[in-house]
Amino acid sequence: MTYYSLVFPLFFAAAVLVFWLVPPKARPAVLLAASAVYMAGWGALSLGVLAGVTLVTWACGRGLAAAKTTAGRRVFLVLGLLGSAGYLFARKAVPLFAPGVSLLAVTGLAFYALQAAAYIADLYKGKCPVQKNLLTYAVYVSFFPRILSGPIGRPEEFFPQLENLCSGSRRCEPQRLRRGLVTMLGGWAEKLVISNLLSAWVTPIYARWTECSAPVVLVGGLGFAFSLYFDFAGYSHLALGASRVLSIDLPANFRRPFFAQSMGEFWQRWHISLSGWLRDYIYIPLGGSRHGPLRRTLNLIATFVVSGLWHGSAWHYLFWGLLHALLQIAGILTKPLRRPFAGRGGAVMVWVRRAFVTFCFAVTLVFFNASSVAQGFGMIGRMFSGAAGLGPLDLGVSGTELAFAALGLVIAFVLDLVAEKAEAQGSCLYDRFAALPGAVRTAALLVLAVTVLVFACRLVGGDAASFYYAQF
Amino acid sequence: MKGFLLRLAAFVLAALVLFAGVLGLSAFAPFSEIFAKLTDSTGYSASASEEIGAHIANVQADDGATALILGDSVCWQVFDPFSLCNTAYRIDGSNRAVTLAGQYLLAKAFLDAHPGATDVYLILTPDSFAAGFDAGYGYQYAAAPFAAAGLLDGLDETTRAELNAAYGAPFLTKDFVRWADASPLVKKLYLNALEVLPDKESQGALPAMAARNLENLAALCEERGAAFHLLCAPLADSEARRTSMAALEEAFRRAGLYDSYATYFTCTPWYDPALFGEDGVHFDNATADMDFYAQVIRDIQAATGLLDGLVLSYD
Repeated sequence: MTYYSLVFPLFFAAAVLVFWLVPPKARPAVLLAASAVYMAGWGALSLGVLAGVTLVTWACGRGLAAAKTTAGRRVFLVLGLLGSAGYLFARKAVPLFAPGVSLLAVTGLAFYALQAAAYIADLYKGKCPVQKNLLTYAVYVSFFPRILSGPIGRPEEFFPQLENLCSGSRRCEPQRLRRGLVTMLGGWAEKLVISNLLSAWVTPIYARWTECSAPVVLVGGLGFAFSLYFDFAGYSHLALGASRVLSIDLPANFRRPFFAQSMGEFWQRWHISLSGWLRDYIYIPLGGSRHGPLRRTLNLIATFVVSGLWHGSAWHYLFWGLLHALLQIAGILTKPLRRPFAGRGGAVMVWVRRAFVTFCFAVTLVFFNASSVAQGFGMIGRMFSGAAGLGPLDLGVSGTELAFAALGLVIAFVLDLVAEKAEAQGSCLYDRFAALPGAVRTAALLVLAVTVLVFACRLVGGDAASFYYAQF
Repeated sequence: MKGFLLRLAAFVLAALVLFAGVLGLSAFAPFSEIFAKLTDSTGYSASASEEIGAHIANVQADDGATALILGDSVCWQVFDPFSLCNTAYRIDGSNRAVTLAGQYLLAKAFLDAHPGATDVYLILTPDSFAAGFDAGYGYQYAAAPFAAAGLLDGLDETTRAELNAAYGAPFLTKDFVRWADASPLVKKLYLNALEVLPDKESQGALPAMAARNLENLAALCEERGAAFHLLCAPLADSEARRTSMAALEEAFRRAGLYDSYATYFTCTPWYDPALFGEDGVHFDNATADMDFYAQVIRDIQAATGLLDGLVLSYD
């Protein structure tokens, strides 16, 4: 079951209804039951591993809290990290060095393993209290709105909210429900309209890049960046919206990344929960920027290589991570040179910088989505070769579909502009929307809902692409 | 909270009504094509309805024919090349998805339009008897075209009830069929909704529906004074085909139909499997030509003593 399964709206409505109807103290049990049902849809193995990781890390957390010596605490730290992320690391790393060997994939593990590891690490550092209640901890690890693709949660943002819900101090409010449902509708639109249309066009370009003309490969590279963004941002908005309906606020995972003016800023806007996790649990423990330029450089490389490995167990993912480390290092090295120009050039330079960042990211993504590093280099070479070949309408996607994808991109761009401006003024896109006259709001939401329903028909009877990040 | 829930329910209802409006709009040009592309429904065209609709129009044509040849795609492959040089024979082989119920309706339409008809031939491979009202091609070939032509009432009550159970009575009306044929989006949604229903268990080589319609066809011909002939289409002489033929023969015996249609089993035209294409069912078009098909028909004529006067040349 995913957010766009036909059965999901029924499942979600039932879960929400029961959640708000039972006494507050029973709410965690409802959430856990709903999460178990949701996960069971992915098979017994996925459910079993989730239960195993939950039990092992909870027990390690109890042991860590009870340990009286540093050595004892360290033992439970190591056990807890192995119990949470050990299998994930092995699944990603083993195929690199033993080609042909593939460990079993477990749905959602790449996300909840990091949450469990964050709990153990925070507990060790004294940043969060031990969670004695297994039920509460199990809800933290398995919370179904985010279990497939995040955002990756942290103990300090989740446990207090769950306690408020249990105590009854947080109630079912129409404002929250409305905002949650509108956010979900937006997420569906991002995924079903923009991402899926672009994906239908981009996938054959990657499969037949040697036959495509240079401009098609170039625009296809850019198209994949947008397709991936709207796929993952769509999922994240669905997770945020669904959680909000349950009165739990999750951290935002995206903040208009293509508006970033440097690669450093980009990673503060793209997959924020993973970037923050890597920063807090890999980069900073390695020393961060505290031990000189060389150590900082090595730490950056290590962090981004881990990021690449997290995304996939293949060398082209690692190469993608390495490229981003190099871009970060280049950004740091050229900072003194760029400093005199900072703030100059007005709006034109702002957009030039944004375009440059987007272009750099799109180019690195070619290695991400290619099947090998060699294909990545081949595609980039072809992009700038001037080669003739298949045109944009020779790939099984009609002009009508491309026109709608372009229209979706334009609308999303305008909304991002409004959101960027609103955020600069201490507001947000939803507040701007809520300030519109009621009739305009209703009309806009109806158009959006019908558009989503129409494009959901693409999923009927076909092999619709799943959420990209769910495969990690 | 109550007010919010009421507004939410009204919103969902309004969205569904608007979506229904989109489905209605999707039956009209140019929206039909636009929505088909946007919803990836272009593969759900009206081609099956057009194909079987043409057969229905053909058998109803006032052309002076006195004999009708119906059958599956092997019958079509062998006999259709000679359809234009025959005036006494109306040749309308189609495919197995039409089912025995569809073949019955085609024959009935022919007999209604040709009161002086003398012979009706049904030429099938053994697999074609097993075709039923499935979610795949059944609706498109056996139900929708006949519903559009207003012919479904010609079936017996049991078969009509089976059709209604399989596809739903509202979806067997002229209006819905025409809507679905005009809107690939509507057809896609409907056909995929059918796929959600559990598959029916296989009813063996000769399902009750096939046996019933075969008997109905024979009775109809007798009532109209026409001779009915069930003939076997050419088969590859392979173990698989021999096995399926034996299973069908056994099913005919169990149903008490063998004696009436013994010719089907005793005059089976077996051919070297090398002459057939990859599916082992149809002749390989790369090697088979008009002369070859004419010889196949002559073999059938010689074995059965039927199909008298069928013209096998354009000379």
